[in-house]
Amino acid sequence: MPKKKETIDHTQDFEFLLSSYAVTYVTHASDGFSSTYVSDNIKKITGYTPKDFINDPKFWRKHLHPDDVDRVYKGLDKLLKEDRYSHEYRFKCADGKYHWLRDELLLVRDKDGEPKEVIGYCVDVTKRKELEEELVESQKRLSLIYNTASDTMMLIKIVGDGTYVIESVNKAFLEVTKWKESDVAGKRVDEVLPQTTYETFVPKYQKVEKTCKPLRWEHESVTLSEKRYFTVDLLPVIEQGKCTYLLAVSRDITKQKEMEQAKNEFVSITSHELHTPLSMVNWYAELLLEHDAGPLTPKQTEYLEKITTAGRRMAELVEMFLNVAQLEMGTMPLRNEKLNIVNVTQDVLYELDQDIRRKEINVVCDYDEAIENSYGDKRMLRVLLLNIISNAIRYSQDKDVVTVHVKPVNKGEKYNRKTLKRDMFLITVKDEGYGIPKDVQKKIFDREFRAENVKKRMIEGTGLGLYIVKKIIQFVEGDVWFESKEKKGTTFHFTFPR
Amino acid sequence: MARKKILLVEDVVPLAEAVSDYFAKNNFDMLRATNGKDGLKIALKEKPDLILLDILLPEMGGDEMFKKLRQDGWGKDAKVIILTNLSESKGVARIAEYNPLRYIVKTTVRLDDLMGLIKKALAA
Repeated sequence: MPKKKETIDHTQDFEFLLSSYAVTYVTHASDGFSSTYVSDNIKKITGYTPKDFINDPKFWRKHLHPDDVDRVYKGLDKLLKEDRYSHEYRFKCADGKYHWLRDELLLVRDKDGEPKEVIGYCVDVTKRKELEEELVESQKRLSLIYNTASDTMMLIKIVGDGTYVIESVNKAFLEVTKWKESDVAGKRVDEVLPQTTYETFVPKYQKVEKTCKPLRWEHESVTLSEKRYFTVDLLPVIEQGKCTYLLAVSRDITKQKEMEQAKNEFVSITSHELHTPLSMVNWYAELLLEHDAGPLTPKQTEYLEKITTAGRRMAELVEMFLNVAQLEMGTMPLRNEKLNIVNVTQDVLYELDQDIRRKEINVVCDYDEAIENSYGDKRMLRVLLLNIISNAIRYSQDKDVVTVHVKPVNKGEKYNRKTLKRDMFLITVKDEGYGIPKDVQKKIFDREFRAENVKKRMIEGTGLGLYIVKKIIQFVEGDVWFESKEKKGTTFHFTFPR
Repeated sequence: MARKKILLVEDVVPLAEAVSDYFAKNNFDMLRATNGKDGLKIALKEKPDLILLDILLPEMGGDEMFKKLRQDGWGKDAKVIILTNLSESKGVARIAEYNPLRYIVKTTVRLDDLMGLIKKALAA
């Protein structure tokens, strides 16, 4: 009796496969690929049993998503030619929902080379598909935002060695520049932007690339037909601690600028027109006070003094408004004239003499040697000194001391944690007054800001003084900073080119 | 001390009157012009000790008058104080070249202060 051929039972070896999520199956290579074997774990994925598939040859086909049927069968034709194939499709499960399945298929041929059957395995890829769809959706949404934004955007790839390549631009960018996508995408920034623009932008690219911190600036674009203003935000895209892309977002603020310009022109003209009648009021009141038109009664003197005080105050306001308007319009040209800082300071103190005397303030001036002759803009310096010293006086109590110290400082020295780029004057004005409350110290240079502690004391002010100071300091490329403690006083420092 | 002669070039008559009344009362001899052309003529003829000059003037502006004054043998060293309004930035920028002693803003200065500044300038 021939020895019974020993068969090896692989059931145990395959058990892990059969219990896994991958469903194994065998189908005919014809007859609509009806199943001959399906592993039990099909239940886990579809909710149907192997029998459902085996008993009904059309079971699998009937459960395919109608939109996928054609594609799936075309794929199976391919399998018959190429022997190996994989595809993904939606399958309606017992819970009534479509799941995404992925099949890996292998064609088995008979000894004549004719397709015999298909062995395959199938996994549920619904989760992955959902994530992919979500990704596609979110990319679509992002691109929608990118392209419907009215701000122009340009994504710049940092290639290294100071080379910046335009990865993409949004629709608004193309609309504003009237360029075509093909003119821009993939090109180096210097091939696309006008040279002067590129030259002002590139140091900014380098800065953001280096510091990984966003930067904002205003840009003027001048073409033959018009002048437009933009704000540019340059944002770093950081991957693994390194700046790999830059996103440049720019917004057209021409309208806003034009309105500002109109406002400033109006203020400028109005202030100017006020000068003459104001001078008249002030000077004639002064003449009356001098008894030029005969003696006055004490009451008349008192009233006239009130008129002159109000007149002076109004003159100060008009000057301030005018300063703001001119600074904002940029119509305060920077002058380079002979400048004697001691004289300018003395003139300012002369202007403030009435207030100094009224409050009996002791103003101590301390000038370092050899500062008499220099070049600069007297008017700017005067406005700076006038605002800072008059603040010191205004926010001092009667009989306090205000110290003004002027000294020359040199290029390369460090003040306020910055290195001086040129020779400057360092002016320090110290008072013993009310001080600036800590919580508002950041706001003092804002337009129209006034601290509560001085408002309560009914001290007059427009909140424009330090705003003007900041503007002028920016304009002359100096610096201003301060230390202050409430009830102890404030010390202002500023540097002014010499 | 001899009475000092001051030429005031100012086109707004009431302003000019206020200044000249005040200075006349304080022992100054006052000369007046309401435009740059007359101002220059009077300056060269009378050779005042000091000229108070506005910038925005009819016929010939203060800057133009100043320029012409500096071309004159006497006028090149004449003492000139600009008494004007801040907003006239155009003329003001040019005028710096002619080396005025001071810029004074009409609105912010009191007559008393103005006189103090002028006395100081005359003494220098």
